[in-house]
Amino acid sequence: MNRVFEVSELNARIRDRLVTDGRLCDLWARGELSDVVNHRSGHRYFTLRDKESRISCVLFRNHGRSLRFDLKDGLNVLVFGDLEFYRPRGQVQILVRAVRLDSGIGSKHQELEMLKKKLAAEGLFDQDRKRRLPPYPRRIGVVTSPDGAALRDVLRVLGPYPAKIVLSPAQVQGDSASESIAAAIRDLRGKVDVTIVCRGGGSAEDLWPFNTEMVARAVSQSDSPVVTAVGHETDVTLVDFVADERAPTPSAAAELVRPDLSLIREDLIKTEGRMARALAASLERRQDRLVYLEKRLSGRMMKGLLREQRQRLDRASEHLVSAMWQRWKQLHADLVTKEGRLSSVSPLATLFRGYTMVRSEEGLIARAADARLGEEVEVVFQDGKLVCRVMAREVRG
Amino acid sequence: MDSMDDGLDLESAFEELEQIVQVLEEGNLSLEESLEVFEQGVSLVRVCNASLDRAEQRIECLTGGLPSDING
Repeated sequence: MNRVFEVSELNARIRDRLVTDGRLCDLWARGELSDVVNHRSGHRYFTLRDKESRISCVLFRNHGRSLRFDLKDGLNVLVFGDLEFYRPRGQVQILVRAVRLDSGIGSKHQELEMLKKKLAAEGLFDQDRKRRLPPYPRRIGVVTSPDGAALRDVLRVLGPYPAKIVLSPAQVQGDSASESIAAAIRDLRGKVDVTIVCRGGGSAEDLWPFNTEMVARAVSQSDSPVVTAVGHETDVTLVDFVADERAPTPSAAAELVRPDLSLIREDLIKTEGRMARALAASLERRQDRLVYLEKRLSGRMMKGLLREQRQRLDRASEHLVSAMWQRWKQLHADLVTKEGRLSSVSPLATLFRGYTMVRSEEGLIARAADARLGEEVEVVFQDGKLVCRVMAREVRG
Repeated sequence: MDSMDDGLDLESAFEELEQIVQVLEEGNLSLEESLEVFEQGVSLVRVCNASLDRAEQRIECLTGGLPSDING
């Protein structure tokens, strides 16, 4: 039978093994802070962890005085100290002598917060900057990795919607990912009506390239509205704030961008119906009017019209005849008057009153002096004439 | 920009349709004009439907090649 240890004996043995391992002294360890407890005594207890493991840590008061920031859950730090085995509990822990913010993701978080404030102050997150997505995009840009599942999800959802899909490939992970994503967004300038920027799920570090100013600015400067879907629903990156729409997943982004085909078809049917009804209504209106006009154009009405015209003609011709008759009477009366006036001035009329007229061969003898002695003259009466000879002449004066 | 390549512009097709319907509903057109406009509308609807019917995914990659499992 193997040897049986008492617990304290066992723990003592473990401790002996650990403290004699030089590699476990003066060590640096990197991880995220959690379960931070600031004890009344001034000692601080916390857990350092990464994705897979955790280890307890203690920072005693005397070492904690030089700390220049508050320990908070979620901070990524580097701790310096020695590994210790705490015998009473059989627990391994780090006796921490110094804590530094991890130059990696930890300080990145602080930088991100500052960057957020800066961009917010510039108005890049303002709601009134958000553009409406086009209802029927003809060209849909997709910025993502050509090899990722996100692209396949997007393509599957877009399906047979009649639009051109323009893939602008980007490296979505790694050192130059930010540059690559920003460039891919810029490359779509003038080529698409809407842009999807997406990436499948990953660790916070994997998604980090979407937290950079470069990518945020590329999104804000995009000439087409941008829908972002980075990581899973719970992941929020800087680009989501700048984007015109944020979708929880790449598939959801595609849903936002693509109009519902069945709705389009419904719309078309409705439109067709409206046109047909409008045309039918306009035909009906015309028909009604035709019927109305037809009624008014009846035969009786035509006869009445004819009779009226005939009467007008009759009246006109009567008028014409009577006018002519009036005119004739007037002219006749004129003639009679003129005749009377003419005869009253005729010399012959004087003869009727008993006067006579004396004429020689040379004409009328109006004065005694005009007559020659012995000359033959005619004395004209109303009913004839006498031929006389001038026997004597007496001229007065 | 090549409009054939980019497919039917559904948005402007719908705008045009809406205008046609409005003009028809106002009813100020002559009968002949109404019929003409109506026919325009119906053929536009037909074009839209046909474009939806035969729509297939057309993918282009800005840098050239697409992964083999994606048909461009």
